[in-house]
Amino acid sequence: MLGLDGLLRPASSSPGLSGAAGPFLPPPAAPLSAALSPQAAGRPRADMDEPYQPCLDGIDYDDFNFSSHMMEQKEPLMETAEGPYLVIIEQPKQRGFRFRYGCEGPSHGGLPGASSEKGRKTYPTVKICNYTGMARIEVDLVTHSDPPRVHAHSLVGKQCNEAGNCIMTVGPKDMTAQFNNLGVLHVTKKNMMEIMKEKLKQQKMRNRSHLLTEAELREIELEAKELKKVMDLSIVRLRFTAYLRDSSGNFTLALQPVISDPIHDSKSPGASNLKISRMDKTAGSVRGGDEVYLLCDKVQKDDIEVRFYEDDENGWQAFGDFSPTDVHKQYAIVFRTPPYHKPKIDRPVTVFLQLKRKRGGDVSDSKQFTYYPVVEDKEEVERKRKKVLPQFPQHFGGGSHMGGAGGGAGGFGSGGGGNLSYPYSPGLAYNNIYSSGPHPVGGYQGGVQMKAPSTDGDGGDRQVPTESTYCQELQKHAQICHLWMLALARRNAHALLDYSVTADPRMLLAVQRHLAASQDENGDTPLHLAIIHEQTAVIKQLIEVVVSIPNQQIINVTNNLQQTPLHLAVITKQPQVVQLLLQAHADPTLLDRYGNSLLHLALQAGDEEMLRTLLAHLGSAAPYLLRLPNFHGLLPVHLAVKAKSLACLDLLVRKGADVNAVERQGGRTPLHLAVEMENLNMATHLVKKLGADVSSRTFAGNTPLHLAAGLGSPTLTKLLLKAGADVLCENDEPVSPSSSEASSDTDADPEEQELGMELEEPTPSAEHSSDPDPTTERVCGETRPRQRRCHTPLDLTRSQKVREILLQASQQSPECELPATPQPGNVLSLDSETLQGLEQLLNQDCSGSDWTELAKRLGLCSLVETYKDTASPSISLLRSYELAGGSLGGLLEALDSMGLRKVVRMLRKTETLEKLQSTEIKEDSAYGSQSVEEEQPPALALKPCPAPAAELPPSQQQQVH
Amino acid sequence: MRSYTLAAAERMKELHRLDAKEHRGKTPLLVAVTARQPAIVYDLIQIGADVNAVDNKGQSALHLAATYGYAQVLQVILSLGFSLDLEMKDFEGHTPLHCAVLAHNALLREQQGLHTTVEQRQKDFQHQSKELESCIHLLVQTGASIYSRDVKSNKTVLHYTVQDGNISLLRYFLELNAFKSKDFLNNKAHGNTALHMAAALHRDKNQKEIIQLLLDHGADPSIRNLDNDQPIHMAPSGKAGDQIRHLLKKGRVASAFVSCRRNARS
Repeated sequence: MLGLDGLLRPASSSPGLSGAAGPFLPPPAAPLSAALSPQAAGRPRADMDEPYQPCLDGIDYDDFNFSSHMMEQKEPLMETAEGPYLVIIEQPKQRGFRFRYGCEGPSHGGLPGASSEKGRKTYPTVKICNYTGMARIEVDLVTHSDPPRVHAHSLVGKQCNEAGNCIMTVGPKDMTAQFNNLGVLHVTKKNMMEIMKEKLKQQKMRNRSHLLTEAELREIELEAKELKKVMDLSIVRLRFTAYLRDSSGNFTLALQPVISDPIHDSKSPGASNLKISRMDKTAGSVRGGDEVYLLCDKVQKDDIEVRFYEDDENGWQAFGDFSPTDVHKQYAIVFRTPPYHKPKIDRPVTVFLQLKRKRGGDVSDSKQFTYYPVVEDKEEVERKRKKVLPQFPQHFGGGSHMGGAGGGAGGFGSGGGGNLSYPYSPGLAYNNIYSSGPHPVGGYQGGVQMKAPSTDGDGGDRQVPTESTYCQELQKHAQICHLWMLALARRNAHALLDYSVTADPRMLLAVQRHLAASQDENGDTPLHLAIIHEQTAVIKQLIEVVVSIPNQQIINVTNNLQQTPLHLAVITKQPQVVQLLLQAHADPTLLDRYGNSLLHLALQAGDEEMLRTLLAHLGSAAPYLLRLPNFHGLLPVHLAVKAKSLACLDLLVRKGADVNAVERQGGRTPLHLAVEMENLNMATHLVKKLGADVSSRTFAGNTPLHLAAGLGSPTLTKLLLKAGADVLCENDEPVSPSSSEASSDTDADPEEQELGMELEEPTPSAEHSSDPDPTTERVCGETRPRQRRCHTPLDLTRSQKVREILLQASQQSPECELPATPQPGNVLSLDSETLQGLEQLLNQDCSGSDWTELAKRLGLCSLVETYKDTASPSISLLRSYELAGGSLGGLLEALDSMGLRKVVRMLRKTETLEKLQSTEIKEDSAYGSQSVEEEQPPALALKPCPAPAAELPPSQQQQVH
Repeated sequence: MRSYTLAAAERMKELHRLDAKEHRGKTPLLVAVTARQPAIVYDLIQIGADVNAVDNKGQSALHLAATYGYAQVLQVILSLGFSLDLEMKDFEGHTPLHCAVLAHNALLREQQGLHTTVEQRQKDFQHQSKELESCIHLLVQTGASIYSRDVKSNKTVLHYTVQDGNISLLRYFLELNAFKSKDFLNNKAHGNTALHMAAALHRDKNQKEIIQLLLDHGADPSIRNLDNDQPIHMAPSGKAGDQIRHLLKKGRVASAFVSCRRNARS
């Protein structure tokens, strides 16, 4: 340490470098950095690794307790708010990056930044603020729990040293540091103790020069043991520490370290992204308790909850009720909905639900869930009991229907008005439509008799003790009623007279208008009934009368099926009536008991004319209604597709409905539905005329093309392909669950995995031992990450015809894609000469057996049949191989394992040539080959690659040994 | 009221419309059941109403009476129903016994969720749960099988009671099973036995007791579910789960012992 100090001092002898750097910043930058370079830039490789290390330090890695003398030094720098400080400008990506074991080789692409995207990659970046000048930034890994402690994993990459730290020098001008080549080295179980001890020892050693005592060593041992117990090997955080120069020019002035967001190993079970792919219900009672089946991506049964929440101020949240036994094989959850926080709501309320991990707290995307008001009186007993006339049973009970009606009127008068739910005496005519069949008159009368006296009985029971007082009261009451009735009769008489003169029934209705809200046993008001019976004239008059009553929403009264007059008008297909009602300001946003709006009802009937009327008169409610799903989660556009009505769909879209809207249960667009229904006409219309998105994906990742292929419909497949659907698009379901399970099993035991790795590893290195070159790495890098290939449409189809179409399409597409993205190392970038040679070798020698063998080795057996009769099968094969994302390395391996040395040699030759040309590209490809999912087109699809990796080693082993 | 109904029913019978359905598919008998009118139910059945009629949800008179816990009504139906199918399943796949148990569970949940100790409410709850219990007893005594499984999830009443921590019913069912086979206890609903479900109960104060009860009655703690987990693996992690794990471990030893003895004897 002392020696180093001496070494450094003369180089940057100007004391107070930070101050000095300010004034003459631009011009002397070059000499300054030149002067510094021996220490800061040129030598660090050698220096940092060994002797330099002890003095790199500044912080005690455990808990930031600085030893006293260090503390004094740093205080000024850290405490002043204006002083230099370190910030993270780009966090590392939290998920999707895989920690590697040492045997997996060094280069797998760097840890990307949080906002990294395909084509625009970012990397973790930090910046030192309020300071210019040379500085050094160190990165190391710490645990995700606070306080951060040293982590057993190490950082690997270009700027990293053997101790697992990454060191970068910044300045003197640009104070940002981008770490674009960070990898996380997964510690093995076997070595964990050793490494932990080593790391702990190092940090102890940093602050001092003498050796550790026995006691301290023991302490370290204990600490390592304890750490091993609690450490989570699937999560790390980056800790950035910046060091500025002190007066002697050493980087010893540490700034407060900053710590990144946690990074999850993409291979660990708890790190996969949560996702809801389907639900059997998207609506439930406000009281909760509804059973919902939810399909999702892999979850841990004891580390998952279903969270319901509302996105407003009160921040309500509740959790679905289920136990681990309700989680089916990590992919489905059956839970009961929690009750909403308000037991009473008058309108459906939409909340969100999402999956949430208990540990780590990460969540899935939210889906919507609707709570509808509780259905009181579920079996309608109360309603049925109400059918009677409670106040004057003796007077009117046995009378004719007209008599009953009169009784109703009288009763109403005595009640003082405004009683909306007053039971209207049932009339025979109304009832017919509700009975299940032709209803004999006698039977019906029997019904009335049965019900009418029923409360009579009830009432009688209650009255017994207080009969006499009740009678007196009743008499008084009767007198008042008498007066009321007289007045009413008089008014009615006047109305009748007026009516005879003018022949205008409104005269009669106007007197009765307070009865307009009366409901029959089905909850129908006169307006409902008039609409049901399509009495247009009556409807008109009723509406006029009803509207004249202030403050009463009679026009919006619902019957027992929760239908407003508007709903009925739509159901009975009376556009003029709908128009009248809407003009009379009936509320168009009310829903029936299945959550259907007017639009839903009109579309369920496929009623184009009605839809037109509705859309013309809805006014400001239209956009809302167009976006509104019913309780089955379907939007109007979906119903239009279900009704197979092109015209309706057009109308909706013209009015502004989103043609790519997704339904709530499974995330399907109208196009998905059309394809599901095998409705070519509709699908064509959607794609061609309405510009529906052919690449939209359901919650489970299926595009319409997946569905078409699954159905085995050649016409639909062609249509979608023509519209630009991506043949190689994968859904979210891995191809062979068995193999992915196997790999995750091995993951559980790193040792075992390592063994597997070691078996695989020697093969490429043995082959390429002569050239330890990035190509080797690239080959590994490209083949490894695609552990989980998912279903493409091609995998889903069983129809030969569809398969052919898809294959054809997949061959055509590269021709237009290739020029845009030339991939060095890919098969077809071999020049034509080589290809021809290759073909000759493959085709001629053994009359075709070789290329079929090759197909097998490349995992493309399925194509053999298809290509058998073509002119140059091997070229076609190679093209598909490339399409499927195969790499030259894989091809070489396959050829080699077939014993075709000649071909391999030929290809090698061209490869080395190419390498010389493409040295710059190497860099790109090294980054490109990272494991972050789906980075490049070839990384998308790749059946063959895992296959050779999995299949070949045994055969090669045999050769080797 | 009863006499009127009877009169009406007689008229309806003449017209062969005694089992006419209203808009939810309920016959007069079903309406009478939901209206809790045992006398009328009696009359209707006597006069020949179809006891096995179901409504639009597939629920028969028994299902409705059991769901709502109308013990008297249930008794009337059971005493008169000659051709009653006690194992009839509604469209949710539940038998009347399942319905009653589920209703009892729901009531229990509601009761636990209710923190206000309004006396009236508490009394209501107690009354309702008594009624439901007597419904369950009635059904069982009449011969409803405690072994039947529901269609949707393959569960028996045992699973249902365990899942909702309904210890009183659990005890009742276990006692019913006293001399019967172990199959009942170790029945799997999609792989999970009742003991799995008991071990996976969370935040339930009765959990230990439930597990102990199941073990005492011979539940086998070594059965594995579809994920290859034994009940012990389902126990909550941390301190709360420790006691559970302990119990299950003890149980395993005991059951091994029992089976050893049995082997030795045979």
